[in-house]
Amino acid sequence: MKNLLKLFSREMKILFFNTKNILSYSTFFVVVFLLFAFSIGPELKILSSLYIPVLFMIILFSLILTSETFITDDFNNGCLKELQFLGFSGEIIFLSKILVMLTSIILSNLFLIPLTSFFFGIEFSLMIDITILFILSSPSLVCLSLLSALFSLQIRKNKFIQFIIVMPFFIPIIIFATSTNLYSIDDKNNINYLILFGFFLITLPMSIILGKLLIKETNN
Amino acid sequence: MLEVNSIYLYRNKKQIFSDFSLFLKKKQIILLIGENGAGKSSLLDTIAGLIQPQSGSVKIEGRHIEEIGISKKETFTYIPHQSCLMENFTVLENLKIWIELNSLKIREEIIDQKLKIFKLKNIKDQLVRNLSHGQKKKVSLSKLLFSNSKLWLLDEPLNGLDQNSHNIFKKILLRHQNNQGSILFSSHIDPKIRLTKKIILKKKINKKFVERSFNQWNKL
Repeated sequence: MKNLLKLFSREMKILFFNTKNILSYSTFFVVVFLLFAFSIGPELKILSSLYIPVLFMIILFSLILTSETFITDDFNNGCLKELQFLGFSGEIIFLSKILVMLTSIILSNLFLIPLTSFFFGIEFSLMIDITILFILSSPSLVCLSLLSALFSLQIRKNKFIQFIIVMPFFIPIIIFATSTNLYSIDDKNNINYLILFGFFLITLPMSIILGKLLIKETNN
Repeated sequence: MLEVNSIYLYRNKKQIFSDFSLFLKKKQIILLIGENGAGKSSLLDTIAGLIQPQSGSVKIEGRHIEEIGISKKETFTYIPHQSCLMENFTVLENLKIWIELNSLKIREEIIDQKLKIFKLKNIKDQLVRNLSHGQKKKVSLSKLLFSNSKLWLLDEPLNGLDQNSHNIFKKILLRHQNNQGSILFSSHIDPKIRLTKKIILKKKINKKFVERSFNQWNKL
């Protein structure tokens, strides 16, 4: 636990000193959202009906884009190696990265979701539900995107393979996050919330085990 | 202090070592000398527990490297050939993070004093990305000045150093040796450090090591 806190504080320092990660995430998010809004047109009814799928697709691609920097910077400057020979286990290294990436995307989305909801004409109560959906699904998405970043270190020549390997795991999370019927008033206690939490309970241990193996593999 | 017993190592389907053994005693300095690709870094990575040999064992102070775990940082200090410095942080911030990860408590005045040794005090507030290769190397090597461990593993520590820093480095090695420390370091050229046992690693000659010359140990 002490080691995890040490690594977490290191990662947080990197995150706040190096604002490039949060900025690139937020910029990508806003730009793609605006592009979608312009391509759909000014009809607010259509815009609001497409809001949840558009939001989750953008979150997914932004995560894949930024997750690589959380891993590659440490890999390129040798810090990933250094952490290992200082005795930090692969699980702790990976878990600290999950926690920091989660903190960064939750913090930025708590600002970005209300902003984009306003442009898409989403009601306040619905925006709260969407935020809860995002908070429930983002831990699994973060775990998987960090795994895909580690895969990309292994497969340096063909990054396309990283998507083929990891993409199928994103699909169920995206399906259950976007198919939640938030528009129906009677169905507020949606079972999809529990399913998303269940996915997190599966993806967390799975990604920690795989993450540990992949981190070890980076030394070879 | 360090025992490498009959290791067999394959990397990328190539045999790097076959039945390689090495024993490093207390107060001993061993220089691994060899051309690029001879296996110097692979050997140091294996000793640091980053790479698992196919057979054979590595013991430090009688304990298997796999058993050491989180107490690795107290057992040995490894400076790999990469800088292991975060580019967007200053020299001082990088050292502070390293000190924190090593669970050391060192006051800033002491850090300042130690930075004077490699003449880094004037650049302590500069971002690492603005430093030259040699300056980065000196920052990496200055980590040794804060280390409490008796065993030092150094991969190509002389790369990029000017003659003056080269002499400072030699003095640091000899001082560590006088303090009951042991050092295993690699270089592709012979730095001509007195009282150093040399092991030549040769490429393609059946991967066996050849002990070339021994200097006398009577003048320490």
